Amino acid sequence: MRVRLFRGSSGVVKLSRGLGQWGYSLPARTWVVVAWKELLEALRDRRTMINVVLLPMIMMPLVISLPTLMLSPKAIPPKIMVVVSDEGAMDLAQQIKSLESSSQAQVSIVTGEGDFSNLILNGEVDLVVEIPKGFLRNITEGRSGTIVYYYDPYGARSSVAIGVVQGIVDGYSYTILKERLEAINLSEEYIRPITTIAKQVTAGGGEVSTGEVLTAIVIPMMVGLIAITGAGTFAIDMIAGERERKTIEALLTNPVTRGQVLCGKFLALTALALISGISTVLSSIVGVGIAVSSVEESIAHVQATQLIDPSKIGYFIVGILLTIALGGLTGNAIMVTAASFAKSFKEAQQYIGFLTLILVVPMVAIPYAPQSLYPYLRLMPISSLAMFARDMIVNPGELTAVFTSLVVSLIYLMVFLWLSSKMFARESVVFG
Amino acid sequence: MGVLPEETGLYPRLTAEENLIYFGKLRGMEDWRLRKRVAELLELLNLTDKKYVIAGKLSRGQRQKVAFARAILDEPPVLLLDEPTLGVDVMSAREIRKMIEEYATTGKTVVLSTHNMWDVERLCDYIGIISEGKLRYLGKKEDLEKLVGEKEFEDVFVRLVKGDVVES
Repeated sequence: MRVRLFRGSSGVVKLSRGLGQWGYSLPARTWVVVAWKELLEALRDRRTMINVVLLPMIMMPLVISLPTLMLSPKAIPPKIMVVVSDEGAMDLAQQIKSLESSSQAQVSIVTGEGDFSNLILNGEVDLVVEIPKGFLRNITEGRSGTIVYYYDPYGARSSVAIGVVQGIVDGYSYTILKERLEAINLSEEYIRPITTIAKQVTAGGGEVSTGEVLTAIVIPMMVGLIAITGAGTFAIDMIAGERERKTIEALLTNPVTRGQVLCGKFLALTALALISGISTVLSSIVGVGIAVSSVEESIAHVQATQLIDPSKIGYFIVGILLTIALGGLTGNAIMVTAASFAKSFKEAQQYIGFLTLILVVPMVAIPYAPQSLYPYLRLMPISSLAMFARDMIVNPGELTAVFTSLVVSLIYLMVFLWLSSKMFARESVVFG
Repeated sequence: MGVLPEETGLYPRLTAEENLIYFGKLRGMEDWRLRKRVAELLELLNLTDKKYVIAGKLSRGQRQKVAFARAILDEPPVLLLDEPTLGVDVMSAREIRKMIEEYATTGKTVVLSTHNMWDVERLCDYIGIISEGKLRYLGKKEDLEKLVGEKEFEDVFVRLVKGDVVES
């Protein structure tokens, strides 16, 4: 049996009927009534609901965690074949085999010699580790034993396999090195005169986890993208769609001002942006969580995998909600301005497609931008919003930075709202 | 003033009833009055069983009737109708004509813009004829019939726009 979420094929509304009836008891304020109508339409528009709620909830965890999951040996263990030509090196092969117990690889051991390249080309194994004849003799005689890796240079899983095997080989090598040094009474420091220590430098003074770093990179970018794309389709529909369907004529023959109508439309858009934004942020956090848990055991220096510093959670929530609301309004004001030039939904989509590309560039650039560019990014439209979100997550104590990005974002919002109201005021009623 | 544009201008994802609620609220109608008036108009136009159907799924005639109901929702003193029966099925057109007649009898002014001469003959008592951007005639229907000397209104119209008759 098919279950229809929105309405039956006869066009009879069922689930959202109550919301429609609610219209009777609304206060007779134009902007409230317009917002009610817009939200009711949005709820019944599958395209909008998919873009605003479903896509972020499904896509964000996938986009964020999939690359890490694909490269995580724990998530998908690579297939490794160890070819032992030197019978005496079986203990090393067994150590590699032990990767199976921690689910980091599927390991098979074969003895003898041969050409195993076809196994890699056919995708049957990701890595062949060959321990050639004479390996053990070289080691016992104080020379280097050689191990050969056969791998697919285009296959990411081959690189993952080399990574996990190399960990075992390094450990094996270190044991031999230690024995050799003890035999000649030398310390480890003697052959390793330099050691390195990486210390984090943060404005707050404390160390941050990989989860926090990922959150600080991913969330501002996602929030900025919501501002541009979140309820964009619906924003176009509100202006160009009204004109295309000629509903604007009937609307503007009523005792309402264009400013009141636009105000109601923006109220609905902000509500949609908040729904879209919150679902995107929550699903992004899920994505970051999955990504972090998959790398936790493969990277030794990872610390606690918390995603947000508990002492900054208040700033995080306020920062994100404010960014989403401002971002939604700014992005939609830009969309509405652009859509005002178009006579149809299709034409508006073409303008906005181009505009989106231009606006996405500073968003994507932020995680890679050098810190010296931050003051400039705080002054650019849209990127100022992403910088505000970043400042609130990473360093809410830096008041100058926080206020600069917030004030600049507000100024841009005012400019775009003014522009969109000017464009909307051009609408005139002409009966064909 | 109530307006019925040539394109109905209904929101396709709102039901017939919701379209009326929306415009009633925009005109500042109170809750109880709007409820009463919407129920009354839907009943009058035989649309009660369609009140929960989205406008996009209504027939052309039904949409036109909802748009007409929207125009007279708050009983405006002046009603401007642009081709109210264009593309509408016979039964719906008949109902709309009846509603226009009834509305006019309540003492309200109805301005009807149409190419349908039958509608003019049946519904109008004061006529303006515009051709090629010029007002060719403005006056009572009876005076026009006398002036042109034709009974069929289509013939009256044709003679007037061809310039066979010059308004005295």
